[in-house]
Amino acid sequence: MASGCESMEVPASEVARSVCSILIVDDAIGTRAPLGEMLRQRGYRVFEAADADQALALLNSRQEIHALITDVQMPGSMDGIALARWVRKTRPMLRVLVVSGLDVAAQLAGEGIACFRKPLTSEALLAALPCTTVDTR
Amino acid sequence: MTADHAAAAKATDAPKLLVVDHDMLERSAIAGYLRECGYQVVEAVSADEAITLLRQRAAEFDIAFVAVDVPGDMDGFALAHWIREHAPGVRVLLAATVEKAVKLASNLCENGPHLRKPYEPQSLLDWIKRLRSSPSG
Repeated sequence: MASGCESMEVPASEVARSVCSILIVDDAIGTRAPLGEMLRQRGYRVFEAADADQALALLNSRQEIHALITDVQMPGSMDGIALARWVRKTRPMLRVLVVSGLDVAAQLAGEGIACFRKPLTSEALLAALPCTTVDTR
Repeated sequence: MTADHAAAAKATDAPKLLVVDHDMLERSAIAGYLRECGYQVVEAVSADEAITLLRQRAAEFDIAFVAVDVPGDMDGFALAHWIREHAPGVRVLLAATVEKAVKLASNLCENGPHLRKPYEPQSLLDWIKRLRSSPSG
């Protein structure tokens, strides 16, 4: 369920619907891989990173990304909170979703970042993405 | 996500590949290319992640596409050995360089579900080099 820090600042209509690219950042492959497969089945183009450093490598490349879905507790140079803030600051048009077992809503209140508590439903996650695709299932 | 994952797993009979590569840009480009060829592709960033997945879901996978230089206690050669011993139904392809990985991916495409390459392998190699060298800022 989305918490109080959810932002709706990026209208879906402003993002190309043909190829909606999502970057998932999670060090747990048991979470990351099924989420990636679910989103791909729904027509999204999905990139997977195991930590913030891998995410930054992609975000700093030419690859177009429309949304970031990140876990909070991860190894590496920054955790998911710091990554989410960095992306909001440097990529303001990119939708940022933080998914955590912890309640981080208060920590991120007013920062334009959507917060979700685990476990969350596919429907809640999909509703927060900035673009829709043709369902390929 | 469990029900979605199960549904997704049954959604297609296309061969399933496990791409194991720590290099974010190389892995995502190769995996994307193979998906365009019609394969289902799951990504792992390390031998540990690959083993975690294969212990749970080895029967789903047809091929493991493994970079030799994955970090950690187990490199690509050791992972290949583990797969042959513990998941003998999974064919292993080892790539020591990005050029070799692109060539293997191209060969897989020619024999894959769509029986054609989405684009020339040189274009894939050029794209990986551009991703690495051309930050968008």
